[in-house]
Amino acid sequence: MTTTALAWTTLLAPLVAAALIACFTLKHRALSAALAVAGIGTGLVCSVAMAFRILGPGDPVREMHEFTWLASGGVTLKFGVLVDGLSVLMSLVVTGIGLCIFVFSNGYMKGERGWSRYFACLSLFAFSMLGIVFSTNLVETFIFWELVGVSSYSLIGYYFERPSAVEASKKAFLTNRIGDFGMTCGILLTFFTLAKAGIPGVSPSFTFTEIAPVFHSGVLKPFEADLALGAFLVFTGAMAKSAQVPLHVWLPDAMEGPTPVSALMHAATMVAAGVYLVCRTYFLFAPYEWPLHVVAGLGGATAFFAATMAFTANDVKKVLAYSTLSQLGYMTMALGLRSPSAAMFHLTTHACFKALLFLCAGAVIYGCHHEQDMRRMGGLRKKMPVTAWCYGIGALALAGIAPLSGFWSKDAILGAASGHSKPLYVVGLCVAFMTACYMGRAWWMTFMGEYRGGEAHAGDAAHAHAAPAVAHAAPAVHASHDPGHDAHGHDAHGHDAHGHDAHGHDAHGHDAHGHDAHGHDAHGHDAHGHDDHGPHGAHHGGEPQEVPWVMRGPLVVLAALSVVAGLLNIPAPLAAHGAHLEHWLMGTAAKPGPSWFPEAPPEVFHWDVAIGGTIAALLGIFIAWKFHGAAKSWSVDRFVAGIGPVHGWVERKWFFDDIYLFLVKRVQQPIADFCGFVEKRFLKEIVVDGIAVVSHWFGRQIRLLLDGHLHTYVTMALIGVLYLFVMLFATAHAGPGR
Amino acid sequence: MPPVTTAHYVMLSAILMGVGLFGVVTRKNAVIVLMGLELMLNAANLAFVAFARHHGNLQGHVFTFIVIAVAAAEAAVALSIMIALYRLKGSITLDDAQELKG
Amino acid sequence: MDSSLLELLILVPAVATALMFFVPAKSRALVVGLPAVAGAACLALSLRLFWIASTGGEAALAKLAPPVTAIVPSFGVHWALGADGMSAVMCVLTSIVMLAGSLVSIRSERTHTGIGDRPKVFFLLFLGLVTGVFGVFLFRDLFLFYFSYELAVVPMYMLIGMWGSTQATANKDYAAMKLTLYLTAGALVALVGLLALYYQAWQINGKPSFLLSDILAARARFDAGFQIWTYAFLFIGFAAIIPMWPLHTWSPIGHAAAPAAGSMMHAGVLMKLGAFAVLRIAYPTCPEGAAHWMPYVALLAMMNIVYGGLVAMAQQDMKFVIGFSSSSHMGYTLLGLASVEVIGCSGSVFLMFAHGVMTALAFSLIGFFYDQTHNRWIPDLGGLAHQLPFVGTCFVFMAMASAGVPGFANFASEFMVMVGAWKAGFVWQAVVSVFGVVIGAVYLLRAVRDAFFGPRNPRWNKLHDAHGLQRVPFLFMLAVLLATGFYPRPVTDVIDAAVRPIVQDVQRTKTYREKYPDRIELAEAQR
Repeated sequence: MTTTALAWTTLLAPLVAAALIACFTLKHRALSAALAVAGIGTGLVCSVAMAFRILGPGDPVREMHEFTWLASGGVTLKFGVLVDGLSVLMSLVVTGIGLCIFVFSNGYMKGERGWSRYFACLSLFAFSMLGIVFSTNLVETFIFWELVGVSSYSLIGYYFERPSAVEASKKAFLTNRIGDFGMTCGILLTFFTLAKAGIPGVSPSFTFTEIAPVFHSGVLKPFEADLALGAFLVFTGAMAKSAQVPLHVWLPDAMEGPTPVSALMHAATMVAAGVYLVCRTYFLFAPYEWPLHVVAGLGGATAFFAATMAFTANDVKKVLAYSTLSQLGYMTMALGLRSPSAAMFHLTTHACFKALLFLCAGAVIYGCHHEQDMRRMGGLRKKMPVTAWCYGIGALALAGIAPLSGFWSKDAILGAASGHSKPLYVVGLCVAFMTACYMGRAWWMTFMGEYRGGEAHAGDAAHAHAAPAVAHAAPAVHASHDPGHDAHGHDAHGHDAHGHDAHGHDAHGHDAHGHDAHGHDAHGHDAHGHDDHGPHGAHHGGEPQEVPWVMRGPLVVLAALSVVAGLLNIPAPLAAHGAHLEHWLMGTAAKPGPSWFPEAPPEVFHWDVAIGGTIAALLGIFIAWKFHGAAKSWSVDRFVAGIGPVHGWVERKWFFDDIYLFLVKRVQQPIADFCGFVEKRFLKEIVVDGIAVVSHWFGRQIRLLLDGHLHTYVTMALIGVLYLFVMLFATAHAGPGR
Repeated sequence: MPPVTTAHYVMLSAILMGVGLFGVVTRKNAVIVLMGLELMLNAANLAFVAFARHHGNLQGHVFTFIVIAVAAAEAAVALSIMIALYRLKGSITLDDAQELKG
Repeated sequence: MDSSLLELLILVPAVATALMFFVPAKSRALVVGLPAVAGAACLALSLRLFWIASTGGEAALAKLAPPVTAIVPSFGVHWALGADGMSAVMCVLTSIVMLAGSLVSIRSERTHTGIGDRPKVFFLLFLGLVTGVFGVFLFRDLFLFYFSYELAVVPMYMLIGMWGSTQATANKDYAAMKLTLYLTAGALVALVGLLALYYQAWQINGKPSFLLSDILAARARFDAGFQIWTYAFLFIGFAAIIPMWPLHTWSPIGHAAAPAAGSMMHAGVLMKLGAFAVLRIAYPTCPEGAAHWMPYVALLAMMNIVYGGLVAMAQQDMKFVIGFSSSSHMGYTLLGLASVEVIGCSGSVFLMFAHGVMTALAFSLIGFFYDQTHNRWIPDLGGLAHQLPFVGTCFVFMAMASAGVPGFANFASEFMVMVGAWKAGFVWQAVVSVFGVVIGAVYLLRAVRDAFFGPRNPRWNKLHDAHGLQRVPFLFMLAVLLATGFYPRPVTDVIDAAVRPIVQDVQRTKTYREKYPDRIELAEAQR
């Protein structure tokens, strides 16, 4: 098989799986799951095969296959696969982590009603994501860009009976649409600026390999303003997809989707597509200053603000969501600091440990019977040891503790920052500190101390139908926090409980299991078929317990990857051959790599940066321990009181949601209503119906002539005839020619 | 005695037409209006025949026969309408039939 | 068979209409079966036509035209048929909607809101309308073209007036009257233009002829002023049916009041006649006029897109949402036409196809649940996906297609239009049209959310989902959208070949060269 054929197989296998599931196996759970896993598995095998051919110490290899998808009026849109270091690395990430998560889903989604739909959408997502990865041109990228948006929409809104999930999916789609608007404009602007430039020998094209060399040749100097704007507009697409401020608001809400979906799409791969896109199109950005400054600035801002918001989250998934936001900001910052290889490196390691953390969170949620609130967890280390160990590894990797993978990638970014921009370096250190701190908080709240969830579940039957009340009747810790903040997710569960009743799913027979209505119902998704729980069922409403092996396996694999992924890019003084990943991406000046960015100085290990980053991380962990550790020697409440209004701002998520809500409710809807008003009252009732009324009035007046008397009609006919006679005589006598 | 020329026939036809028209316009009784109409038709017939004689061909005669046929049909239809009108209104005064008033 | 392909395409619906007179009204199988069979036959014929266009190109299509015969020699009315890639695609669209429309009516016939009342008359009018539509797409004689155009428009009056909705928001009498007045008035304005062409060509050629080819032969001697004013009449006349802002107010209420098959035909095909006629008649006969007026049309198109989308956002009736979205989408068609670029105009034609199928799907789906709920008021609906999983899934797909998601033909065509507009130098119009896609996503996702998602609503528990054969028309239309969206090239190549000479004619005019001195020329890539 040729390399491009391998890429096509990787790309199409999940699509075939999705199509087969949608067409044939909607009713067969096992077959659907098997097809989905087989699809992504095929992708992984092919990606590994490609990696052996492409990734190596030699010059960068680039293979491409394209066909014309649409051609009209001199504009040709193509479809194809571009195989090089960047795309192979990314496809390894997508298929590798994807496979783990597909397998994990087999356990996590057990008993859900929309099982086959879930796997079809997941496979569709894999297809779309791989499409971005292998895309050869801007339009193809955009097409798959939109498709991942669609699959994201379908999976965030997986529990479509839950209004909050539907709302979140809509928000995600629309926010991304705004980014896509910018991206489309950017693509068209770039294309037509190239066309206008009319450089001899270069036909305007969307294909990366064709236009990238032009950008480096310097002939585009006169069109700098337009092209820089084009680059920035392309970045707006990345801004929405990678959830950068101010288009980040959809990502925390996206946690409404099932946890494996959050792991795959909203942590490891899809949200990283923005970073990938900028790397892929780095040639657009590299020649210009201001777009990259904006990129770096927004990245730094996202990293910082998101990290602060992670402190106030009590949902085990929301913490990770904010952390993802923050880390994406990190990567974007690296992009802006002219260090795409560091961004890609962090993307790769982050994909491993963040997927791991999310799956651990999923395991915890599953183990605690769909409890998501960390305040009602605790002490899970003893009850779920494998999950706890894996979570610990992931958290340490995320915090950037040597020698785990996160350390190396974070160090690369901090190194780039210290070289380019001191303020961003300080931001980077702050974020490193905060990351370690909030992860420490999450660790202690979830896994250490005593289990705090039991008492809430000990209730009787009445409990089940009072779910929202349970969620609000929070433990003591809650008192100091804004109760509105976290209620979100729980309300959603409350709705489930109602839905549950309405559906008459009681037929599923809890009685058959011999236990009365329990807290589980209140939190569980209605679709959660209780029969399928197997051995698990015995513990309903009771103690949390370790998840089955189909879920533990992927955790262990991802934990191992989180430990070793740093080896991909150990920088120069420490490793004999220097940084591999950087070599794959950057290439050499003579033979530029996939990012077409040959001028980068080689990555070097800086001891001062490494030590600074490590100190920040350790300090963060120490402070988290002081606040949340066994001793609890420092009080959260006192700290909150100490920082004054800032805590409120953080709780309100720095007002971004309020601003958007204002824009939608107070700006967009009034405009729409105004247009509706103009249409209905002005255009229809005044202009159009007005014309009708006027003609009707004339009709009424003329009607008076027809009084129903035969004699009037005859007389009028007579007058008409006389008139004709007069005219005839007049023209006969006065006409020309006579 | 001067010969009867085409002009005389046309004159007579015009007088007949005038009388008929006067009847149609002024009379309220439907039967009289119908009679006025018949007079007008016959005035036209007379003119046709007179011009046919004048030109020495048969075209006018053809038209005349068509007009007589149409007039017969028209009279039949009109009289039946009048009967229907009488049944409906109890009179055949045209002022009573104003259903087509706009 | 190929030699009489075009005649068959006209005759099959015409004969079906005639046969419908003799079908016993009591035999429902025959009443519904006949249009379905005719639809299938038309689809087969249109696909054959498309296949010829696809394999043989325009040359092969030209050979299909039967010999021109004079019907009324003294006026110059001729029996002249001809097809190009554009008409081939439009015929396929008409057949698809015709077939699907009659298939969905099989179901609604059983309920009392659909066309249960007098289905025979309904399908009689339906088939007559389709005959007219095929005539518009295939006749190359202005008289027969205009005759078919009116034949397509007038039955709609009765379809809405007799079987329409009686809801207060969409009163059928009002809607039918408004639609007919707008469309016939538009047709009359266009008729002025057509007659101007006829008399001008008569003076130049020395003999009266409604033949399009005769008029084109005389075109070289039409002066620019004549072309500009004639174009204005033709365009405004045809724009009423597109419908161009502000002539659009008949359209949403027309959709809303019509029965499902009527809305499908109306939004799916009828609205496409206008843009088709512009490309078929107005562009080639008055290229100077096209070059002169089109920049202004681009501004109105922007209005269509944004204003239509915003008004759709403010609607609560499902059919009104889709109705205004149609007028928003037709803004893209207008923008494509206005760009006077090959890719823009091809995009317009492709969008007519894509939007036709998509909107037919939308109205058939709405009709499906409306037949059972008797309610389209979005706030009253909700959670329908629980009771109608299949219809709900199709609706989500439809909304995605309408929102311009790649994978559906709508995306490819709208993207072509945007590229065309930008290429023509209408940068701001293009940007606004791109933003229109965002607006589209807002109202469509809202409609989906409020009607189909959310907790189960026990009020709708008695609803039954589409099953078995009922699913066929929905899946059929969806498959068409997906197939042409995944690989649009076969369709766009056919359209491109037909549109290119028309557009290049306009681009060669003096007016065009004066207006666009520094137009971007792109070398034709090897295909």
